[in-house]
Amino acid sequence: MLIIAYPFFNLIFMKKLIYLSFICLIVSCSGGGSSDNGEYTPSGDDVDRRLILENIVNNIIIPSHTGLFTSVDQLGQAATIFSSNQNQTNLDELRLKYFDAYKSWQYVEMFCGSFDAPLGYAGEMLYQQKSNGYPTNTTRINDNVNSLDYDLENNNNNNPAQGFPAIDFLIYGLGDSDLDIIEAFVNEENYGVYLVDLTQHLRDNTQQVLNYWIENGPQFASDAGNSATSSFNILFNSFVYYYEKGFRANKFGIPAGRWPGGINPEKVEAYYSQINSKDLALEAMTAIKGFFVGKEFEGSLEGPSFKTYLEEINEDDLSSEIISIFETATNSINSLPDNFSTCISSDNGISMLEVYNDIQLAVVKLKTEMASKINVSIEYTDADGD
Amino acid sequence: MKNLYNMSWMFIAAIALTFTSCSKSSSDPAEPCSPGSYEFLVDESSTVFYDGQTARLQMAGQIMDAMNSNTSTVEMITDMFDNGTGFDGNLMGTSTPLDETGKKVGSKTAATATADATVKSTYFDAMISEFVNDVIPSWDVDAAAGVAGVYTGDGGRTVRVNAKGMELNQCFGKGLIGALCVDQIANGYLANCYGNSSYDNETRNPDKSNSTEMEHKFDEGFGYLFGLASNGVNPLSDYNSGDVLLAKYTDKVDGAQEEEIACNILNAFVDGRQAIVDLDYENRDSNIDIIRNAISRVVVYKSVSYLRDAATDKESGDMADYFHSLSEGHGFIFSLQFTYGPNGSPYFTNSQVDGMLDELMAGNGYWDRTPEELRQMANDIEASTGVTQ
Repeated sequence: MLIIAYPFFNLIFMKKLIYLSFICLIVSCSGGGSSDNGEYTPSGDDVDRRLILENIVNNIIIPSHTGLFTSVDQLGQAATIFSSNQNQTNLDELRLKYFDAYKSWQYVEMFCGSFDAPLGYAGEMLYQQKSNGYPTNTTRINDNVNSLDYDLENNNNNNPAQGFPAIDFLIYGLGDSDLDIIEAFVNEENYGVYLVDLTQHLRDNTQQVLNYWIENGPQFASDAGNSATSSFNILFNSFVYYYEKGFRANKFGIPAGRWPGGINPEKVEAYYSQINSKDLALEAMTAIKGFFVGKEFEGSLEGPSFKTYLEEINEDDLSSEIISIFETATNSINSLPDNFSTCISSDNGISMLEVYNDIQLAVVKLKTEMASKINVSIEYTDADGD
Repeated sequence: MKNLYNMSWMFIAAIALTFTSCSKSSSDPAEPCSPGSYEFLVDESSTVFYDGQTARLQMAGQIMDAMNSNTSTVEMITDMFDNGTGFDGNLMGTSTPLDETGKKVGSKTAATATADATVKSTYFDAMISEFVNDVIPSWDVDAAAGVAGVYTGDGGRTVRVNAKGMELNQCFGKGLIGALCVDQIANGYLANCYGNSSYDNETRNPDKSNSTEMEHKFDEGFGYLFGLASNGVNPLSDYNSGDVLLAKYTDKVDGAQEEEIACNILNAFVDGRQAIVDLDYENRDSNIDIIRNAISRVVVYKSVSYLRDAATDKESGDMADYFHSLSEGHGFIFSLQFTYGPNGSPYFTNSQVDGMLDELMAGNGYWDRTPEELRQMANDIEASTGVTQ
């Protein structure tokens, strides 16, 4: 075993060294950069990263996942009730639970990491893609409903046929009126079967991720290192990646046509319910601000955080600038209409792109300035696509 | 252990490279490139225009989208490609619909005397029908070796691929970089301005903004690279914006493999155009050589870098990224036959390129390729061209 494992480890190690030597090349040739490669050295300041990790794990990550678990559990119950008794009252209740759970999700998506730097079990099982991959794939949903033969865990092609966007389609998109939607569930009982199965998967996945944090949280928070695989570095990468991709690009940039190919009004979050996109984006913004300042999930106490880190290394200005960008972005999101999709169609994405610009300001601050001040390297490739 | 041994050598080589490149830059500090202005006036009016090139660059982007949409038909894409119709929007900066510009991408694809006459149909037209007839019917089928369909990778990318794992719009689009942009610039317009050119450079044509024939042909070459810049006089700030062809990848190379290549190409265009005005043909020709060598290097750099990216993607287990990278590499390798290397011929001939593409597509195609094979091909391209990164 050792014989097999040893060269394998070294192979990875050598690859890292090669990778690092290229970084060295860039750093040393661009001139003025430090020779510090950021991989095997301490962070270079006196900040105890473990205190920040502890606060974030105990007061944000675990409580927010617990909150999400409770709400997806209730969503599952409402789905079961509706699928066996399809009427308006049960549909209304189901939609309320769906919206509550979708809002809770906004506090959790930032803790999934990226493919290049996955965070814990969520990263490993592609929790983000299984829970909030949109636009949802309605063709595949219908195929799955018809066959009831599908693999939601191992076939990535089914990622956009599950989670919140798929549930959004099932409870808002199966007909033009509520009556039509209820009728669709009455006429094809497989819709109910699939809906319940989706909520069950969401619940089980959430439970597994929550369990991971309960079991591994203390160990995760006790890691004082500053390598690409250290807790703090992965957490920072996960947050910045989420802000850039999950928040900025998915909720705003892609539907509003930031990249070639024009506007995509059908690619907003919660497209079929139409009215929820703005509330979800605002909830996500609240989660982002809370995380940055280390505010406990249930309550208002602030603890050690990215904000206090910057203050401790006398970068108060940078921290205030970032918070102020978040505030401005919140206000500009607030100025948008509730329905992002019709908003994009009506003005060709212009007002959404203005908000995108406000959000974008913090990407530069976080990804370039802050990353360099705290000496953490960004491990993921650009989220802009190629 | 053999791998480990190889890796150690790569490590040492990487270190060596570090020192080599650094000592080079310290002993021979490169002059920072200061971009010139592409502005040529007669009676205070500009003589420069290239709206036909701008139109085609815009069209190329929409054709690539159509090559990735399940609502496309062969007729629709062929109309766009060969007849110049079926496009959304207007020619940039005008109120003329793209459809009414009369410009066509297809008729300028592999169209110069140097280009192989068969590839328009065997590469591009064939991909249009393959996409519509093989990929679209399998839109929601799970892709597998020998089976066209959809593949979503762990990193979240979703690709629609043919049975060999090829993302056809990438092979098509990156192929246009060579067959349209590089071929038209290097083997078309600039080649025809070169040496004992038959172009008239005396008569200023009032119907063509008072440019001479030679000036205008040269400007049209400029337009195939810088045609989408919002400010054509000083194009560097956004020439790649909205572009999917040569400009986009020149900018990428500028940020990675060869710093300031975009500025150097721009300045060669500026100096070459001024030389035409000054009737200084020696100077014109040396700048033409700078341009056609530099845009050819862009194609080489990207062929190599996408092959290596694909190798890494396959090792890291993200097959969707792998298919995407290798499809891009495929298009760039195809484009190599349109390049103009320092010895005055393409870096690779049409049949050499076909040989490499056949290697990529052997058996079940991309599904069967190994990182070692891809790295070997990348190394071979580097060794053969001498364009290293």
